[in-house]
Amino acid sequence: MAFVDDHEIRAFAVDLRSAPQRVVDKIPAVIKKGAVEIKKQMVEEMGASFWFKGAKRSISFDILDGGFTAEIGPVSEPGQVTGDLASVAYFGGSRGGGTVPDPVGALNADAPRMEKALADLLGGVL
Amino acid sequence: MIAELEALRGKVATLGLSAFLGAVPAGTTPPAAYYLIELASGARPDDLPLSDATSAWDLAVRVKSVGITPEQVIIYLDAARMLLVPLGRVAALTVTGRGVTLVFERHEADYLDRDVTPHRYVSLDTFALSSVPDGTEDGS
Repeated sequence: MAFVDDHEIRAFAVDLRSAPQRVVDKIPAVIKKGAVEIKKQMVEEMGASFWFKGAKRSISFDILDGGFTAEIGPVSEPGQVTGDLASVAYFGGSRGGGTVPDPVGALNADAPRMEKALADLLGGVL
Repeated sequence: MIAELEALRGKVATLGLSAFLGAVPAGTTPPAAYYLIELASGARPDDLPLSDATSAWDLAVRVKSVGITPEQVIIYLDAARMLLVPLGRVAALTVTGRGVTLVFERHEADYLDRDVTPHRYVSLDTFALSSVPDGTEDGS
């Protein structure tokens, strides 16, 4: 099982903000590309589920924090049926067990590409 | 691994609600509100490999509160989090012969399970559970 320790990512994000403006300006595009790829994998995984494929429509992303943060996932506020269905798919219902791969897998799958893209950006100023 | 998960389940159960490991047992009518301790991988605890006394391992586990109102499940999950990691993020769990650490990772979701009648609200957190044998560098 993969773990996401976002402390280093957050520290890295702070470092990125102190980079030259011409580098900072390019970071939101890298973040958005990552969000698109992660969403794509999550939609594929949800769509592959016989029971939960209808919930793939609820998966979306928001770009926040001036382009430095992407929040990706199903709309899950109580009362929104497809979002609730996606949550059941990932985390299981009230009696146990989810059946669709944890979204952290999609995040980890894209992490090397995003790390390389950001490293390439920073490499240009070192 | 089961000993650590059972210790986690037992500790959560001290809050006064039923706490189940993995799933509500088949054929059981669950109470109005309860906790589930689950593996984030989706595996059933009974399917975990038997680890010998010398192995160290870590697992992602989920603490799930189930209830009949959204407020109820959030309050119960907050209570479990306060119990398990009272200082905020990291705490030890007592298991004989092991050094066990529980780290709060993140709150995952709050949602409604419409597949049961009456509908139940669900709220859950993910923790990292690490266990090493006593006497090792990281053990107690």
